[in-house]
Amino acid sequence: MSESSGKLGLLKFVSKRSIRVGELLAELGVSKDYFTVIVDGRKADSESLVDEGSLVIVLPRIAGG
Amino acid sequence: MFCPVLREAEKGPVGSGYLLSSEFVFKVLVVGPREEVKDRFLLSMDSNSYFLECFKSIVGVSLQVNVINVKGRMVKIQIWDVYDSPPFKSMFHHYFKGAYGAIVLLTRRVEGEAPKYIEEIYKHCGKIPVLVIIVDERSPQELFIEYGDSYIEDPIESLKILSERIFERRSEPLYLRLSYSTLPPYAQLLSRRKLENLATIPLNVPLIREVLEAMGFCTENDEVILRDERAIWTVDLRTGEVYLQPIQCDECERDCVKKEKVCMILASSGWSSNPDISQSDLLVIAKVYAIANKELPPDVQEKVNEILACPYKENKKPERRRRKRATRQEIRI
Repeated sequence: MSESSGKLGLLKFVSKRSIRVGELLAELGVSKDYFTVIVDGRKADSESLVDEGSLVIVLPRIAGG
Repeated sequence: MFCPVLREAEKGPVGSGYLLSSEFVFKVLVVGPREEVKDRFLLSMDSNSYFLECFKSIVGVSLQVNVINVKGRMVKIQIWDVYDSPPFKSMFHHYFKGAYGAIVLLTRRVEGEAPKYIEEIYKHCGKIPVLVIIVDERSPQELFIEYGDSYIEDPIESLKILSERIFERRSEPLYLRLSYSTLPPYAQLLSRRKLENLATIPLNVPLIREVLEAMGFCTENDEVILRDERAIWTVDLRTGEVYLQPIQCDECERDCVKKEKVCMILASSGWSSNPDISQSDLLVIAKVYAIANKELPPDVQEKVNEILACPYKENKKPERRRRKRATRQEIRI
């Protein structure tokens, strides 16, 4: 399910098929409670496609002050 | 052939009656790629444990002890939650030594990795009983319908099942399903282990740098420096600390030039397809992203406005001028 990209030992998620960000978030059970989603370094919306080998980052919400 | 010698619980002078009443001691490993899933899984059993320390970030393992009743026998389970991260992988053979059973905790997306973990366990421990628990986002009802007896409702059940298999000396892996919804929320984990503990998890600076550079940020000397019309932000990638330095205005006398620390903490859990990116790493990336895109939460923005407000503008400035004028008059007199 995962493979090395060869750079800094970075493991990347390998999806068997393309999946939309919204579907992925639903699968993860984090449909609402997150800050933003980054796919391969770019902001993604729920309709964005996650392709094979994409690095997906769901940023957490932050608080403080 | 798995053939454990079941040890009786130690009966030393130190320990509670609860500890002394247990008849057996089993060392059980909990392994898996997702630290927060393991943490939430173990937290769900926390009410029944009497010792919990988060040493994971320092030595690569955290310990938790649960005492359970298995068919009338009191069993003390020493849970070794092994940190699945490269710096500590060389220590696995030490941590795995002497284990009676193991739980492999995987999410549905990476359930194909189970054989890899089982092989690693067998390599270090011999053929001990292994439970592979797939944490699934589907509802308990759906899982019960689809998996029947292989579905467990409560994480503590896994300890009972594993203990029974240790007693019965059954070493073949058993696959079980658990619903995400039965795990406590991440926020509860934060309050239980406190934010200080989370902050001690070492940041993976090269990985954070790589991700931020892929997002278009410039990282020099393990820092990200962001400028806007009012201030200079510095995010230290080694510590995750954020500093804000207002750009000097003409009105004041350099009092507001000093750097101020801005505190930002996790308010939810993040996720990455790269299991090497920890929650602490995600927090640092989220901080940089929020600052760069001016998407700070209201409470942080309020603090920022406070720091950026020129102390001599508006109300304070006339007072300051009056004071200066008064001083001059006094001198003349």
